[in-house]
Order: sequence, then C-alpha cells, then structure tokens
Amino acid sequence: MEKQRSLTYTLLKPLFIILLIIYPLLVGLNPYYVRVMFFSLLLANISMAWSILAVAGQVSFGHAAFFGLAAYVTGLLAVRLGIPPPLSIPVAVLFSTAVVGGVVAVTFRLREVYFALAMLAYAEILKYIVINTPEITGGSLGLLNIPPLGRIELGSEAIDFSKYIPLYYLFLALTFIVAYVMTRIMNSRIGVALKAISRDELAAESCGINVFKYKVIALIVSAIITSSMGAIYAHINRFLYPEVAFSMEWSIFPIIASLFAGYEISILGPAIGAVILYTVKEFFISRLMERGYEIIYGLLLVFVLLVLRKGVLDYIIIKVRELRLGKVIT
Amino acid sequence: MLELSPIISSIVYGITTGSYYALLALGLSLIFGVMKVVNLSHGEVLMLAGYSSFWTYVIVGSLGLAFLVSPLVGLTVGAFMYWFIVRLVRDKPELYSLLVTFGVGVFLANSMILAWTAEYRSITHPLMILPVDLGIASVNVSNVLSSASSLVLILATYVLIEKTFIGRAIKASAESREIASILGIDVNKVELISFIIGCVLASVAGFWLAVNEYVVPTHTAALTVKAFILTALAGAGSILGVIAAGMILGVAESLFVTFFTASYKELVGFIIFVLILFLRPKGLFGR
Repeated sequence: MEKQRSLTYTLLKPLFIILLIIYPLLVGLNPYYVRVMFFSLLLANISMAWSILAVAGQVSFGHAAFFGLAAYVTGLLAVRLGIPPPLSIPVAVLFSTAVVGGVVAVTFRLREVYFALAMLAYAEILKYIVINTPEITGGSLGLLNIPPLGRIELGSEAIDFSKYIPLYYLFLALTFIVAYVMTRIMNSRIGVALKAISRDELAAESCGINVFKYKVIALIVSAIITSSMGAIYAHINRFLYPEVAFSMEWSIFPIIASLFAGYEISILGPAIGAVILYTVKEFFISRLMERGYEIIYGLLLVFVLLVLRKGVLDYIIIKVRELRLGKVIT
Repeated sequence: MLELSPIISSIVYGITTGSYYALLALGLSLIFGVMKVVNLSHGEVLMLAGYSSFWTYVIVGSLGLAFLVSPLVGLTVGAFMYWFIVRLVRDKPELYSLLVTFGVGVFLANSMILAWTAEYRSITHPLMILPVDLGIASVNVSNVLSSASSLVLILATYVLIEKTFIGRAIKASAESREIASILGIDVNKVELISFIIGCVLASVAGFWLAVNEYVVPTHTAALTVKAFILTALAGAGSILGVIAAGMILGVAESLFVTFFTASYKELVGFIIFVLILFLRPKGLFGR
C-alpha cells in the first residue's frame, strides 16, 4: 500500500516539475501566457508564506503590508538614491520584515479575529502614509521609472531579466527554493511544533513548546518570502501606486488559494491552489465576464469551508487514503 | 480669544456622524457579542439594503417606502445567511465563521458590482438637505434624522437585550450555548433572531448611507472594517459602549479634517484601532 502511494507520488512530482520547466515552450514562448504563469508563481509563493503563519494559528488579512512596504522601499532606494536592485531588494526585504514583523509579533497575544483585522489595519495605515507623503513616495501619482532587475553577463552572453522568459525561470527557481525550504521546515522540529500549536495552543504550551518563539519563526519566514515577492514585483512592474502595492488582492488571494487547496497536509497545497486559481481566472473566467472570478471564488470559498470542511487537495488525498485503507481492511 | 466656532461646529458634525457610526457598528457588535461570530459580510448586507432603498426611491419616488424596504432586506438576508451558512459552522472555531462570511462578502460585493457597476449613487431628496440651525452650529435635516433614528434604534436594542425575555435568552446563550439549551432555550432560534437583528440594524444604516453619502459596492470592505474598529473600541458585547465609540470616532475624524487634512481622515480609525489593541484589547467598555 505504501509503495503504491509513493509510486504515484514519485511519478507525479517530476512530471509536474518538468511541465513547469518546459511551460514556455508549450505555449510557444507567447509572452502573455508566460506572464500569467510567473504571476501565478509569485502568488504561489505568497500563498505558501501566508499558510505557514496560518499553520501557526495566525490568520492574516493583511499580507499586503509586507508586500507593499518592501516594494516601496526598494523602489525608493533605486529611484531616489540610485542603488542597484541587487542591493536594494535585500535591504527592502530586511526592512519590511523587521518593521512590520516587529509590530505584528506584538499583536500575537491578541485573540485570533483581532489579529486578522489588525494585519489589515497595518496594510491600510502604510497605504495612507504613502498616499500622504508625495514629496518622498510620489503619493497617489505613483512612483515611476523604477529600474528593471538588470542583466547578468555570462561571458559573451547576457541574461536580461527585464524579458519575460528569463523572468519566468527566475521565478520558477525562486518557487522551487521556497517550496524546498518550506517543506524542510514543515518536516523539521519547527514544523511539528507549529502543527501542534495549530491543533491546540494551550496543549502545545503545556508540552513545553515555546509557542511565541515558534510563531515568531513562522512570522519571519512568512515575512521574508512575502517581502521578497513585493520587492521583485516593484522592479518587474517598473511603477508603483499605493492602491496597487497595498492592494487587498495581495492579502485576499493567498487566503482563498490556501483555503481552496488546504494547507494542513502539505505546505505545497497552497502553491498548487494559487497556480490553479490564477491560471483558471486568467485563461477562462476573466474572458467570459469581468467580475466573474471574484464571484465564483467567493462561492468556492464558502463551498470548501461548509461542505468539504477542508481544502480540495487535502480532501482528495484523505479520500484516496481512506479508499486504500478500506481495501486493506476488507 | 481662540476662534471657537469651527471647533464647535466640527464637534456637532462629528456627533451626528458618530451616531450614524454607532448604528453602522451595532449589528456587527451584537452578533459578535452574542455569537462570537465576526460577520465579515456586514458591509455587504448594509450596501445591499442601501441599494434596495436607492432603487425603491428611484422607481417609486417615495422616501418613506425606501426607508421601510431596507429593514426587510436585512431581515431576509440575515435569516438566509444564518440558516444556510453561519449555523453550519457554529461548532467550528471562531476563525471559521470569519472566513466563511468573508467568502460570502466577496461574493456579494462583486455580484453588486456586476449588477450595478461601481458608480456612486445617492438618494437626493430636497427635504433632506435643508439646513437646521442648532444655535451653535448648522447641520442638514438628514443628519438630524439619521442621528435620531440611530439613537432610537440603539436604545431599542438595549431595552430588547436587557429588559425582555428574548433578550435574557440571547444573553443566556451568549454565556453558554449548552447550558441555555439544557434550560429549554432553542439556541438556534435565539441565534437566528440575534443575527437577523444585527442585519436589520446594518440595513437601516444602509438607508442612511444612501441618503447622507452614497452607495457604491466597492466600499463594503471599508464599512465592515470601520464597524469592527468601533466594536473593538467599545468592547465586544457592550451595546451602549458602541454609542461612545461611534461618538469618539466621529468627533475625532471631524476635528482631524478641520485642523489637519481630509486625506488622512480614514487613518484616524485605524490608528485608534491599533492603539486600543495595544493598550486595552478588551475595549473601553468590554468586560
């Protein structure tokens, strides 16, 4: 039985990876299709980042705070001070992780619902600060002419990261790294502790788990990944508006993707969920009707929570396991 | 001597908005206090009722009828939402109902955008914009009427909860669902009633939103958040505290706009929210 499972698994995983690697060829290097896929990978990373915090029992409605702050910091460093992106991005990521993360860690002691909406408040506060400091940030008129990611010279060849194809592979590599690190964390002592906390915080604490410490670890991981995505996004998009950088979309999409797929069995579930939901939205639903996808995804969220009571992927995995176990028992 | 009139008039204006804010928050606060459910589709229910009033006014032309339509919408939506959605997640942790009602909200808000576009619409009745001179300051008829009806509804809710049998049943099931049901209280019915009351209160706020400001489906999340901020400020389950919280926010915003800049107005609520979370997480009047 165990062999069967691992066989499907060992077959599916490389297939999925190969599909992602040859994806640009499959769509004939069409820039639109490549662009949609790397955006879905960006959202996949944020969804994994959101989920690790959710596993720690902290549901956030404001991951846009990390995303937007890092985007603005790297944008400002590059535009106002001329600092090259390879340097400004890590500075922005550290800044956003330290500033927002520091405030958020203090809020951990709040009751769950208060925490969720406090996160939203942080994102909104940052948005209004940006809107009201036009001398520095450009305010509502936006921060324009942000330099692109630049190029890497490899002998006579150069990889230009302002082109869609290299950008796609950059994102794919980042996603693999994030997925690998996340899986390692979830399978380690930290992951076990986090799962214990999500089941029953009080019980975990009485077993000698330092709940606060593990929540802070989850927060830092989550913040670094989300901030990195925001910082890179600033250099891809080349301009920022407060309404875009701190858009509720960055907070809401990861929630829907993670809950749709389910994050309890594997941290990769949210990533797969994000890719599925975003590509389906772009390739199918948005073409039929403009607001269609939000309406459908809202309903989907209600359906998943009310009827399945767990994410779709988690549900399928559990059903398949039950079927197998049933076979063994009878 | 310091010029007092702008301060006084902005305080008066703040009090009129403040009482409207209290009504905006009361439904959410009541449902949160009684059921520990944060209804994240609060703003959508409010907006749906606001739109119903708006269309009734546009089609029929009667302001009275428009006012009567909104609570009916709240009643219907509330009953439907409780029975088919909220009731089913009552056995789950608090966050579950938060996420489910959030999904409902996303669905409703975008359905409204699809149906009526993101255009700003408002009920403009000639009587409502007549000025009323209060001696120290001047406000519109609509401001006076909305504050008056807000205060009446809040007091009515207070009396209902504190002085009637159904109120005692609501308080009992808020204390413990199990014990209440052992005592012969139909907990589902009690919660259905509280949820409906919450939605009806939101709906009346929706009517005044259409009259005093405008209805637009893209603002629903902001309304929910404002209602939650006020609930946190008042403290969960404190009905009269909501009045004070509404006044504090209304006056603070109005003074802020008078003395600083209007573009920071929305920030006032968020800062109050964060401060209260840090300094007094139970709220000003919470137990």
